[in-house]
Amino acid sequence: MDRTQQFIKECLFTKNFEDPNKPISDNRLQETLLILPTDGGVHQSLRRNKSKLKVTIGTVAEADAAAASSIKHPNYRKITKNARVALKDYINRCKSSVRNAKRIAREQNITEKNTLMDYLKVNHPKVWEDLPNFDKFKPMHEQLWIGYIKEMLNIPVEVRDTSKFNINRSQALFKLSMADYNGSFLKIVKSVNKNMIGIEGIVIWDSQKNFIMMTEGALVDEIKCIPKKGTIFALEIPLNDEDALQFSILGDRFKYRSSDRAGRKFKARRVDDMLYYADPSF
Amino acid sequence: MLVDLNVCWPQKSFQDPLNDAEVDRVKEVLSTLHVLGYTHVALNFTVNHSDKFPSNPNPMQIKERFGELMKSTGLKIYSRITLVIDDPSKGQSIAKLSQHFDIVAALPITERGVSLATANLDIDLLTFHYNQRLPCFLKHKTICSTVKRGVKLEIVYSAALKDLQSKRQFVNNVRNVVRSSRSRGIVISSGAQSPLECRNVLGAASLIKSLGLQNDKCLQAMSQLASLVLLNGRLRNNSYKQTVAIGTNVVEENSLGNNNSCVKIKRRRRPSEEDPEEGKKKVHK
Repeated sequence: MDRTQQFIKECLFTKNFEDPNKPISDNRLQETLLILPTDGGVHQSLRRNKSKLKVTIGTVAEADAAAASSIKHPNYRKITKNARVALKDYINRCKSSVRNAKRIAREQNITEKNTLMDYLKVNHPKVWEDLPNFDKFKPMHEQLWIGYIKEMLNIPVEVRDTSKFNINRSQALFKLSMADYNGSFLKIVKSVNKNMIGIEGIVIWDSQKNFIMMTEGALVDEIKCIPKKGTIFALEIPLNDEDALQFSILGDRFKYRSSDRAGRKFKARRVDDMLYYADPSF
Repeated sequence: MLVDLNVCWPQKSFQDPLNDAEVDRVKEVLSTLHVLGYTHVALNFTVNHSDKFPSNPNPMQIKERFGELMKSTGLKIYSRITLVIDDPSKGQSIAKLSQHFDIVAALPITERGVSLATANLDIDLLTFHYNQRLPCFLKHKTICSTVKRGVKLEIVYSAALKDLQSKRQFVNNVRNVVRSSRSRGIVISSGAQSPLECRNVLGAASLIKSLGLQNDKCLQAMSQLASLVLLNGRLRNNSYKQTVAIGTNVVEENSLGNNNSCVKIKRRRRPSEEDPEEGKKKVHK
């Protein structure tokens, strides 16, 4: 005879359950096995978020400790995906509103930027709201990027006498090759697509294969996605009110995201694809 | 744009003295080339790879000597160094040298020299003595891999304008080079020492065409491919690994040279960032 079964029933189950012969009641089984439709985890995540939102000294310290221990966000993949969708959505919205604004301007025979803005503000508030605004992005270049790049290249904030100013060429180029260009003011000086030459604007996003730029137009400001392939971008780092350092980015060799570019070892390659750069008659 | 990548510089080594008559002769060649329609010309300084390089290896002083000529004719003049590679074991690192010249070329005269120059030397151009026998049989594989790496092959037609022996050798060598490279990446240049050795596009192209290179490749060899050599050479010095370059046009802007510590400084298009409209108006006036 099995003695252990006996022992379990008599010594252990009698202590913990009401009926030692039936440790798990039928009622309980039924309750747990009920299958209910779920809401895809939204409710749960909302509740979790809500609990996170309640800020106490304890939670703040905890969050700091968590941030210190792991820089990576737990669901960063989802967040980057959402951010990309949001950016794409923003660009599309801007483009469609620019199209609408241009159409309205043509229909109403408006050629001045200010009058068009006033007209849109009154008659088409929705289009006016969605229009991108170059001036809004100006601080990103003037206050943010210029300071950053000057600090990176060790240029003093204000250079009085530019004739005495000297900078190590190869080191500056090396640092520029891994700098961040979000917020820089770029101008297209050479391109396979001749219609793009002369476009200038503030970079709002430096993606792998495009520069997404905010350009100032005569009638409306526009967002433009400029492919890096086959394009030369010029950039200027101002020293004072009159002089600036001028560099150019070779888009063909720059087709990496800025985070990848920082640690990358670049290699000189065959230049056959950059014939448009060498040949003025191209 | 028409490019001649090879106008002989009179000095034969770093120590050679240079007199004014020779410089005037170079000037004559340059103005002849300008008349023939060339826009970009490189002065070629040939030295031995085993020679000791001085601290400032570039003796040309292009800006001082040819500044006026460049201004009056609009000709762009570049410096080029050709290393005669005899014994690779005696050679030195060319990294320092290449900072001072726009184009670096290699001229192997032995079989080991050929294998060094084709395999792992950081150069823009591969050239040969066209009035002498080639150092070895050129294989498809080595030459094509070099061309794929971005190095171009040079044909110098001055040898075809000399005595009978060098003419015969020239025909043989050109046919060998065209065959081994499968007519890819070939650049034609003059190698002129006197104004009489210059030829215009049609003259040079018809000569090389008769030796087996297609017509369109002949014309490309003097314009587009040659300008790529210039671009490659200029990018080596004026950019970080071809990503970010100085100035807006690396090939056209003729500056810098030996001054290694200075970045180009240029007046900005907009005098003040605050009111761009006003700045633009000033430029238009």
